[in-house]
Amino acid sequence: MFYSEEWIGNFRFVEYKEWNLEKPATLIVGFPDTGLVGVIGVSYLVSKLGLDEVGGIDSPHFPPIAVIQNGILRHPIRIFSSKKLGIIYTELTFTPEISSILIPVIVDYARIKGFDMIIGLTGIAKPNRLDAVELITYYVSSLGRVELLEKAGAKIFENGILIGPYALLLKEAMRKRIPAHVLLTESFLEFPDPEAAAVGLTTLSKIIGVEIDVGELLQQAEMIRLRARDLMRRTSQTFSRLGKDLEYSVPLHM
Amino acid sequence: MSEFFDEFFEKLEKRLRMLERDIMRSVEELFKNINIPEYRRTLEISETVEPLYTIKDLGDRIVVYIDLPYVAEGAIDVKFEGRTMYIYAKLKESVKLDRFSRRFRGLEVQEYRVAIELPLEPKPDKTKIRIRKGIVEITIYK
Repeated sequence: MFYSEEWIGNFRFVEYKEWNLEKPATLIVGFPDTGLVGVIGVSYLVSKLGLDEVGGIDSPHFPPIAVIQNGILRHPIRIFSSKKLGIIYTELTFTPEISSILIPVIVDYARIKGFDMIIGLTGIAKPNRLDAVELITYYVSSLGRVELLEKAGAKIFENGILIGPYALLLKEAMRKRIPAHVLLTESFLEFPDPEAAAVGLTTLSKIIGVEIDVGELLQQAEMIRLRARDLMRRTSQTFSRLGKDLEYSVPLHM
Repeated sequence: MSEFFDEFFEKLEKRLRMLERDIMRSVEELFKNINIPEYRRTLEISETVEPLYTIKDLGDRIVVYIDLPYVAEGAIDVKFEGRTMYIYAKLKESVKLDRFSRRFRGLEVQEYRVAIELPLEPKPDKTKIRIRKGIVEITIYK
């Protein structure tokens, strides 16, 4: 059933088949966070590109969960891949304590597999989102200002605070010297935001050089919002523990 | 003489209103301190669904946002009863849940329903309702 199994720290990385990457390879991560932009966007990306599910991550730290898709047993954190892309995707919400041990292990895994870059897709709460006509995608990178991202239309996130798994991802990747970028598209904080996911995906497609037509995502937006209610509710419950409101603030010293 | 009675009853009515307010306040305080065990909420799978909502305190006003995707135009009903706000909203068309999982066959969602406890009692002349992108924004001025 499994091709390989490897423990990194207290996390078990399982691979269902042998898979190798072509250079340069990018790892994209999608966790439940602001407006579910990451999970909506990454889930659509996986379906649209028809990526293969090649592995998963499990741990005694997680609740006893098995994901079943099309009758096949899968792991709580799922790994998809194509030649130059890897995807780490989960709909599980993690406590800050689990995030702080999981994210470093994911960065280690990216290094072991030979990924050249990690990209996180998520949202950044926009106070007047309801009236916003044009949504901006910002980026924060472990490398500072990045021409590739600017050319793709992302604007540097100059001042602010990030809270949650993507903040940890950036810090850990910087420490371990793997280029990592987080794309932050303006979105609702506590409502699923497929429109923001589509804007973020459009920028991502330019960065990785893979065309992604987001038309279908926009067409299905209302149904996705309806379907994602329970996941959004669970995710919002973690926001208060994380102090996510702080993201609205701007640091005093700039 | 009648003026005397008018004044007397007016004062009496005022005292009664104050008394009623005091009693209500005491009862609310009392219930706040009673530890009622929370019932366990399970995911509701029925013909109505509870929408997502958030309440924000903006100082001079409370703003409630309710996410109502796939709602039919003109089919949102907002009612107030004291400090409780009731939302009823019909979907554009009923959604068969077996499209998400075979286990839900025979279940169709037709509308949103929710009762939201507000931090203050809204006054009709100080309440504004706006609907945009399937999101209802209700502003209640303090």
